[in-house]
Amino acid sequence: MKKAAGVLFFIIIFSFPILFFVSRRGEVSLSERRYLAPAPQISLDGVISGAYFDELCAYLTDNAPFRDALRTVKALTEMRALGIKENNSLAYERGHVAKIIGKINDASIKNALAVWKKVDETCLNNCSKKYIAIIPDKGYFFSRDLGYPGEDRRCAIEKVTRALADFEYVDVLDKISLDDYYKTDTHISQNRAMGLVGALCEKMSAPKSHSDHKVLSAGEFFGVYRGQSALPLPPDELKYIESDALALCTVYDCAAKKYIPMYDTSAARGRDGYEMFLGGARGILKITNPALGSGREIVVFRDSFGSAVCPLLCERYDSVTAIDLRYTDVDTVVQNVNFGGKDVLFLYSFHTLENSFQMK
Amino acid sequence: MVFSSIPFLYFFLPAALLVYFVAPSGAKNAVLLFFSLIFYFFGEQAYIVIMLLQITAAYFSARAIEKLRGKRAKLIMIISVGACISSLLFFKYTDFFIESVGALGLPISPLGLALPMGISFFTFQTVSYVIDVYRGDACAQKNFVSFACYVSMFPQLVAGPIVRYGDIEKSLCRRTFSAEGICGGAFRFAVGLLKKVILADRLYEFCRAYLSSNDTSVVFAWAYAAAFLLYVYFDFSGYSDMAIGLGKMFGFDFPENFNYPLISGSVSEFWRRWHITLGTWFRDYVYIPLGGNRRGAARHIFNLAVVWLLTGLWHGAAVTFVLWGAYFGALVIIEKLFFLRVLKRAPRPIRHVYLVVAAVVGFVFFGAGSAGEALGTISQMFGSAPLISRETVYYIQSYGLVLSLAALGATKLPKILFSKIAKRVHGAVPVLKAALTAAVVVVSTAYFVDGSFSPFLYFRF
Repeated sequence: MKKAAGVLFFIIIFSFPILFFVSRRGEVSLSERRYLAPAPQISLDGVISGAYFDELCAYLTDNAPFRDALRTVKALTEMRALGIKENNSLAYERGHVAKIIGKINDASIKNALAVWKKVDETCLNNCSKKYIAIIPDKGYFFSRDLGYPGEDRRCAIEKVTRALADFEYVDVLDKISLDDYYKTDTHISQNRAMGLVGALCEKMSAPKSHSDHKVLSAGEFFGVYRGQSALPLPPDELKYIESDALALCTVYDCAAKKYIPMYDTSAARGRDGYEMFLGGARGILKITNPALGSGREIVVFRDSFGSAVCPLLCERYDSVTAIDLRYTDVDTVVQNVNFGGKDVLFLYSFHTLENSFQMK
Repeated sequence: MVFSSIPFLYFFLPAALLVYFVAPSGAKNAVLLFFSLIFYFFGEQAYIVIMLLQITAAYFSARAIEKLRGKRAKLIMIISVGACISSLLFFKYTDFFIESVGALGLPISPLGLALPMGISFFTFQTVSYVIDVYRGDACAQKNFVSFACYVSMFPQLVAGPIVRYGDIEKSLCRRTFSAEGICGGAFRFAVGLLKKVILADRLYEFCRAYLSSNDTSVVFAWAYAAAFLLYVYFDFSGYSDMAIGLGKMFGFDFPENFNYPLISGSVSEFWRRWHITLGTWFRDYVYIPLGGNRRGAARHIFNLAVVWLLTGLWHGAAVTFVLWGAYFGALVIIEKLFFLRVLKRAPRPIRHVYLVVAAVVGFVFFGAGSAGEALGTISQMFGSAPLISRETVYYIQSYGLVLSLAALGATKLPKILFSKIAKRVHGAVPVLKAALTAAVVVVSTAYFVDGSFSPFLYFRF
């Protein structure tokens, strides 16, 4: 019995490599949504420079057996046993996982403003009115209401509104609460976005919608934060809104030159359930509401938060053109989109504002 | 390759142990040398030559010293020690020197030299070996493989303890293995993992939170300074535990490097308990040869000042380390002159508070990137920041348990608890040790695996 500690130690360290070699290794970690390090190719240059050993370490570590279970062990040790409030910069509070927001990324905001000004100068000469709204991250509410760290994001909004002085700012900070978001994901649940859409439409004087909404379920949904946090959290329910008007709307993908469904419930069961809204990552989409005839059209420059919001705007506008500058560039926009007489809305989340270098 | 990693724990170590124990007795040193060179090459490709040159130089010098004796032996000793120290000085201090001279306005640029891994440790080992042979305190090792194995032995190669040749001379030639020894080594290694992975790395996160915060306070600055001292203690003593444990697995008894330094009642006592192998090295090869305390008070102070200047510089080529050495050197000198006599009359808790405050403040220099940064933190500790802040509350709430566990873990409390349990419940300690070992290894592995995590939000779109 005196040797039990040592015996256990050696059983573990000798079993692990055996399990490593007999277990199947994947290319992707679905829970973390990233590629795992591949087996390195040995070469003389790589060995001499040490790059081979670095790659080997990454490969052995990334492809450890029971990877996801071990990540959960670490998350539980960190947050439950040691009482640390965050794991991988993600915090868990009131059933929600959120990324701690920290300091404002001034360089990213500067970049975002440069991109938006380029859009303004290039595309928006003959549009109707210009609006901008910034949707907060969940971390904003953790900081504002729950004592978590984070620089006040209203300073970032002030910078944006000062720089885009001829845009009307739509303040949506008080129209959204933490409970409007999925518990395990970054996004707002579409059925909880009515306050946000209402605030936008009121400011833009959009026609009122008289549709009867039905909230439908696309099934269970594990958001991006569930995998990143590695906490054993229950799934969210992926909900979407249907109405008679929305059922008549069409969605055209200008890059793929084909019509796509507004809600693809088969994608809800895929790698990222949120891709069910407007087909996920797409550059330019045109959503048309043939039944409305209001004479009002809008172009929305947006990020993924817009995927759930744009369909709801289409109940108020004859057409909504949704542009994601992470997947298309300004030149392509100029060639494909007519801005004449249309309202323009920049609808971005804090997250994109502070990680703007993917915008083209 | 660090001990606290999957490549080491689950691939290198099992392979090394397997081959080592399958090999016949006569080949064990060669096997250990082979794996040590692989271990070193894994992290340091080109500079392995520096280590091999030092090993070769020290080996032949010691053989010649033993053969010749007299003045020629002294000359060889001086040349050999000089060569080893020169390589350390060159790689570790050239750029520091150039930058210091450059600060005076001279047009001279740093060479951008990378520091060979473990050079401070293996240089001190080769130097002590050559001097010991010259003094007649040790016999020159005739077997080159055995000597190379001593210097390059991977358990202690990168971060000590500084093992003197005499410590393991007998074991190098002939060692016995027992299941108790090997299993004891495994438990000691697990204790080191616990200190390093579960405590030190968490304390480091707290320190980083302070360093990146724009919302600091007096309380946050003190908590940071205390956490940093605890971080260095658990990081370094954890690594030493792992090294000692590995040594036991391979049949060697390495000297202890830490002996609960944070329970000391004076700075002098603290340094007798902290990084013991470095302290005794400087005592035996610098302080005593300079005359120690036998040549009057002024010379005694001078000798202490030299030792502490060198101790500071040994830890790193930067002004902050010089200041760190000077700070502790000054406290040790003050204590030797009169303050120890005052302290001895004070109750133990008062002495302990004095030591903790002195050590906490002193280690701010150790952790700072510049003298200005250190002074900035110290000024915050003494009132240049608000008393408390929003982030202070958050981070102390978040890391409160870790800080408390670390503070208690730095005392003898865990050891006392274990011995009390052993007295009251027969057979409980082996069960506890087994459970602790398994838990620590699994949880540490979980930390290694998730350490490779990097958020990749844009995978989705």
